[in-house]
Amino acid sequence: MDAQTRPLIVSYAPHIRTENSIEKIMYTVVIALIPSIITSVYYFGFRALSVVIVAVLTCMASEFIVNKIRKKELTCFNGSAVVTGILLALNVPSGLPLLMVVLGSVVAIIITKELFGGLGFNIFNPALVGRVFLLISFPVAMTAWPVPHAVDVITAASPLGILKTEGVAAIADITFWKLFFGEIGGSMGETSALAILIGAALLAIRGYIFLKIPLIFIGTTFAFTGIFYLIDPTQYASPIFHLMSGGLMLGAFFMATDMVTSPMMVRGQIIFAFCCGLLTGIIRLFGGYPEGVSFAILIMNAFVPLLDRWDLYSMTKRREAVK
Amino acid sequence: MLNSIFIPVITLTVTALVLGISIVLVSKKFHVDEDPLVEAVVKLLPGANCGACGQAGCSQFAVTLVATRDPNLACPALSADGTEQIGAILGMELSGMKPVICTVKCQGTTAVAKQTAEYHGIMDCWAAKQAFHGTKVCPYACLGLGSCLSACTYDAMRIVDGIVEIIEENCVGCGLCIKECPVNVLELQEKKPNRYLVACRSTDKGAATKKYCEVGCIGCKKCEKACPAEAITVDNFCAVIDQSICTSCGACIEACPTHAIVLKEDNIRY
Amino acid sequence: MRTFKKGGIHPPENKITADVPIETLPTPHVLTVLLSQHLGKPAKPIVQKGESVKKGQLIAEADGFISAHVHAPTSGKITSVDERSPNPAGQYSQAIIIEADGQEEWAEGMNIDIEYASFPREEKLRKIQDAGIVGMGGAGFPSHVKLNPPKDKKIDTLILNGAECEPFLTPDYRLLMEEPERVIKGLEIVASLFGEDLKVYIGIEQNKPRAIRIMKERSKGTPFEVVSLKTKYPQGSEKQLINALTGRTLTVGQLPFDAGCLVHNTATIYAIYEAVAKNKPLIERVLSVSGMSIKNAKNLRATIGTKITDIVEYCGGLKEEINQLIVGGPMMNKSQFTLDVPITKTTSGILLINNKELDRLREMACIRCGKCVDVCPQGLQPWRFVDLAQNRRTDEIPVNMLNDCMECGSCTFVCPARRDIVHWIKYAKAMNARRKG
Repeated sequence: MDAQTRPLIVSYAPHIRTENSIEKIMYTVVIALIPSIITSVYYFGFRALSVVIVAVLTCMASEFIVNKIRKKELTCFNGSAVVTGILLALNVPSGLPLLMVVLGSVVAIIITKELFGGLGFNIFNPALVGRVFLLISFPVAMTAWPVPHAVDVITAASPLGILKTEGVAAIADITFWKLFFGEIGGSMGETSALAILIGAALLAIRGYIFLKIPLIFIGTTFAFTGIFYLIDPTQYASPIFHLMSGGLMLGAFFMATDMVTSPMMVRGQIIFAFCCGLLTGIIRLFGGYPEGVSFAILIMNAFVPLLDRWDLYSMTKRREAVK
Repeated sequence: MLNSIFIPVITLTVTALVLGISIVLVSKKFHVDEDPLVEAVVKLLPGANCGACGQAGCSQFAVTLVATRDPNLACPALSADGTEQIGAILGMELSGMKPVICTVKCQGTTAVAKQTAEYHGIMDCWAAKQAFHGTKVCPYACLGLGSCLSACTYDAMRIVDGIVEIIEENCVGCGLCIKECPVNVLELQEKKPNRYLVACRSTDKGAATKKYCEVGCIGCKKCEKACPAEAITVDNFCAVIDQSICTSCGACIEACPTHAIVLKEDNIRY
Repeated sequence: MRTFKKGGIHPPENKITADVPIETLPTPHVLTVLLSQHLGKPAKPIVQKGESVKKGQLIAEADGFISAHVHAPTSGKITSVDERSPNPAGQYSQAIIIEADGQEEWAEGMNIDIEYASFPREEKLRKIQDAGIVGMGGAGFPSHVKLNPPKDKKIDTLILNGAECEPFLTPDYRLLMEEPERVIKGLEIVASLFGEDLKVYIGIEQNKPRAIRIMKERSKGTPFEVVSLKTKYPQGSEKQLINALTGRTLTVGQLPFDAGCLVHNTATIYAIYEAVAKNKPLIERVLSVSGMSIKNAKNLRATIGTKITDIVEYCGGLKEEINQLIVGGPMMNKSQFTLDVPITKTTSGILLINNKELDRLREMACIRCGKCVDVCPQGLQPWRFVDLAQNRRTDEIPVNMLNDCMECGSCTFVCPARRDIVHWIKYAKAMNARRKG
């Protein structure tokens, strides 16, 4: 056919775009989290799966409601709510009452994300705020870590909890491999370091996370705890123990690298990761809580706009100087 | 046990007292003397902070007026009554502004004006002008993407059928939208009970204008001939009505073959 | 294989016309010659309506220092000197309409062999100026001005831009494949304008291996160096080419001659050869007609002033209704609102496509992924510019950073939130210019 009867469409250059999209990124993160979901079901039973499902559905529903109230396009299907739901679920014990899961999800999506303006506008990591909210509101339920492979619901303290309350001697029988594969008590996603590493590798290959943040974060914590271990091995646990236990792996690879709440430029990212690692170490060794990753990341999230501002300022000054 | 109640209570009370007294002292020390006149004037202003008076907001207008007592300083959003009231407070005659209203000199809705192409991009008239000539073939047409709308602080504009429409009850004639139009299709005109105007600026030859718009002015001069007061001049194939001569007889609107002339009934008492 | 250091992307190449030899498009009956086919002031017509002109005759004179002459692309009669015609920039502008008489009679003294070897520098520059040669890669900067930089700028490097990094476009590639001798001779003419110690590079992207081989063979015996460049967009941009071939970096506001370099497009060098050696003004050029919706994609040698509707007809018409017509490459050039546009000296390609991307083009919020920062070849922060521009705070954008943006489109290409980054940057530049005066 030769004649063109339809009007042409005018858009501005460039007229071709990448195949990548927000949905693709988010759903790839979901896939990267699947190994952790599988290991949590393996160790803690199908209750774990129900926590994940309830969290995801509540997150999507909360976002849907807010979209409708704001009369904007539906963003609940672009995958970010699903990621928040899964991350929140992986951060709580598998025996947590489902109503608390719902509450945590609502806080994570509505208060932390939507009230600030929606995707891209939140300052704090939604899953972490949800988790910390639950921890502070329901401290007993949130620290009732089920024992892996238990037939009945028996709970015991997590390795870090034992370390905090009873000291180094009590954790001597927890082997490295148990920590690595996850046969320990803890929140659903933080137990298996192997599953997290597999997921992180997938994201790194696709280029969706910059490895410098998690590696500097983990490295700093390792060094900090290592220094104190060398000073007094009877009072401080080995840095390898600290590496594999608690939410350090999950936090470093999936929470600190969250695009919206981490700095845009290299110097900011390095400072962010370093301070996260430092704060985690300080809280773990000297603070009142056994686990410090969530708080460390949230504190540093608050500094991210400042870090970005500083980086932009330096960059502008540098460009002016070159002229 | 009493200790554990007394000590906190006393400490907190003392802290509260100290802080409270400091606040009072500081507020007295840093007190800004507000001229009661300024406050009275500000109360009568619309508070939209549109900047049309040339000052940086309504409070600034009040401060400048009270300080300089300049009779020519005027707020376009004030009615004649409002201007009188302010004048009364300050004990002076304010010249005020003649009531003006914004007009769109284009009627090219999607139904009557030929479109060029669909536009996908930033919905702003300047942005569209950068990408291409515009959504309408006519080079003088309103683009209908609303750059003027974003400047209006009185909620007096809306986009209907691809062009901008003025919501006359809300327009105060502040003029902020005029600068925002890349094709200069907006004009401020003095309010009149029956205001006739040519809603077209096309200076293209009649045949060309007719090709791209059904309601454009083709420069046929029928209105010029029909006008008993000689208020209409057709220059470069576009008719312009001189509002200072026009007697609102309505002969032109009947003579116009393309309906390019429109009638606006302004409410002068606003 | 060299490349530039910062940023860059690799969009799908789609060089579907790479192996199609150049065909000459017969001159159409009516030619619409725009008065502004270059950077700077439009040319002023010097002919009247009704006048008869010969092929190559000067019909509009350059107006001012930065301007270029316009010549009649064929012999015939002038039917209008102030016609309002759509132009490839998407606006309307003035054009001269010529009705061809079919004779193709050249003006006197044109299209003959000239002995140019003994010409002094000024004479060669004069011929380039008289022929109305402008940068044919898209910018349209008058070549005689470019080849005559201020006296205090010493030029030690000349670069032939054979990168052709935009998807779909292949005219430069075909010129290098089919007429390498003329390109080499044109390069020799330009090189002779500068000192003996001039280093000449021929930069070709590595996805054109045959062209690289042919140029290496034909340039034996000359001091020209053929360099294979990594296929990365925007390799063909001046700043990136200079960085890749010489390692020098241009800072804000600097032009290539500030770094001692001069960059010229392949088609421009070819046109310079024709101007100096054959006294032919710039009245035709090679362009690619490409895209998935055209029946026969071709490389055409077309006369300037030919309407795109004629070209589409010659290429067999459309396979299906298109939704976009792009004049130039899809990364930096404008989509048109009508098919009734004439081609100009700077038209390197015509793309007729059914762009499925447009359905997905809803801008979403910036997710701070940092991809735009990664790919920006100038090392800027596009996300920040868009943030400020959308909130109407364009005056807070650091001016030298904004002006350093060459609108290459790499940031917009990679943005997963489909933000219209380049358009916002262009909007911010316009708003700042408005505010200033």
